[in-house]
Amino acid sequence: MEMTRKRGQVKFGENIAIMLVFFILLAMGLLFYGAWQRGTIKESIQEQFVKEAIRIALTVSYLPEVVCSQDNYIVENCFDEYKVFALARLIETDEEAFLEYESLFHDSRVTIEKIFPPDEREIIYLYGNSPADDDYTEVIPTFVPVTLKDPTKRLDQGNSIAILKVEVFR
Amino acid sequence: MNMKRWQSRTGAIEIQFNWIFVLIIGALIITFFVMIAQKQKQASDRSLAADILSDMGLLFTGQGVSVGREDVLEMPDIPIDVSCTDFSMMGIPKELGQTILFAPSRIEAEELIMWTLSWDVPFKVANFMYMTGKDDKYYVVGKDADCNPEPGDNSKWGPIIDSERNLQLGEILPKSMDVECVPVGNLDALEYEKNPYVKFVFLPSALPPGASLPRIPDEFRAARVSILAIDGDISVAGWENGGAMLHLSTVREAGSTAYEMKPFPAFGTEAVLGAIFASDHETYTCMMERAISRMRNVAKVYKERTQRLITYFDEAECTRYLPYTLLDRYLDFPEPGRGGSIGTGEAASIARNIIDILRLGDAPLRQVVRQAQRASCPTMY
Repeated sequence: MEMTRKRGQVKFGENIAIMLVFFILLAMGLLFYGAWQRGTIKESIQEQFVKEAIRIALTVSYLPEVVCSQDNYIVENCFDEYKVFALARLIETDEEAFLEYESLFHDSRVTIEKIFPPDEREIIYLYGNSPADDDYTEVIPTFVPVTLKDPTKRLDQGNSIAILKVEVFR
Repeated sequence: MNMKRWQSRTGAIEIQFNWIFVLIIGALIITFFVMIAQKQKQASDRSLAADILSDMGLLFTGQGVSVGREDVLEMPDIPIDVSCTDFSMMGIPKELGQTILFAPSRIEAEELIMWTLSWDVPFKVANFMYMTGKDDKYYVVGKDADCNPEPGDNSKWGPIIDSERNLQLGEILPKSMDVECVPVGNLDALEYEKNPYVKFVFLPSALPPGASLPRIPDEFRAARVSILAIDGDISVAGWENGGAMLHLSTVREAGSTAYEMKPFPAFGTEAVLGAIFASDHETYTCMMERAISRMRNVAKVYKERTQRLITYFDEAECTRYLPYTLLDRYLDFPEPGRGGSIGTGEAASIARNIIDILRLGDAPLRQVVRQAQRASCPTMY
């Protein structure tokens, strides 16, 4: 009788041990899966951030407030220098306008750097809402070559080459 | 003998105990995996929703740069909710920012129709985006003549909505949209086609002055219903030029009969079309206020630019084509909705102001730009 009870206890112990091993393996599997999922989520967040940077660059490139136009005919990849100055001033001086453009560009800095002709090199700050130096962990810059047109000059005489630089902060 | 019986009884108990133990643990393990699978499905749906929302955000930007584009997108079986500030799937919101989007408040369809038009006043302010589900139904209610298409072209029905290009309502709306023109006398005979969302658009011809809104057939109680009544009476310029009063309803939820109509002045053909797509007065007001705010900013940029140009040209010939005070009308533009708190009388007075802007601001600006082009001078916009 004593023998049977002991055998029963051993069997029960065996069952518990099997369960324990099973759950340990399961927990390990879950841990690995969790780690892999964390990596995927990180990747996905990074992808969203890159998409956001592209979205902002695209938005600036086609903003009616800055693009070259003649009777609403839009010239692609061309910025009107006078419009750029006017928008930069508006964003700088009008708080209400700044808040509206903030909902469009979020935490980013938009600059236009005139690179040609070389003697007319200049940087125009269009929009700046960059966090303090230690308040961001990453910045994605996007560069778009554009023509900067001086509307006072006729036809192609007033065109400069510039780089639209959009830096998105996170 | 007794000992043997006792042993066999213990054995039987042990076997039973083992089976119960296996059953309980088995059930626990199955429950655990079912829970994990459910969580995983939820997570995967949410991740899919987040990806779609992000892609749609990019698509809105893309639509924002190209005009007259009509896209039909296949969608998963997840409804999209649209509000004034964001659009969301499975409770995950994506900010609209400065996007001007007219859409039903909830879209439940396998295909999504997206359409863009440029809002020019006459200078370009922004692109208006219109979105609806392929299963959503739009009934345009007018008089008999409105609903008879020209022979040979089924899209040529309804009033002229774009007088500049001489386009009728049926021609201008996206081809993939489910729109049906119904003579006002046939409204009672309409059959509900099980659409999740139904919009009734009453043309001015269907609503003689002083007439009350015709009753929506009871069958449509099963759908979410929204109503737009266009009152052309107020218009001096003709409602087809955008100088109309729009009466937009709140969304009548399925099973309910309660809704409220509120006025809002229209500003241009694109704004009238926006009211056709918008779900209710509140979101329409919000989108139009956003559009008008952008218009003020664009006008400010043009004014500053024009003043700079005048300074540059000084007394030269070209300054004649830079009458920047014409832009002041856009800067002093009245607040059209004020959060939907205005009454019909006030909305009517604002609508008249808007028509004045259309007549006194728009035409001279267009004219001066054409003159500047002829004189090879810089144009105001």
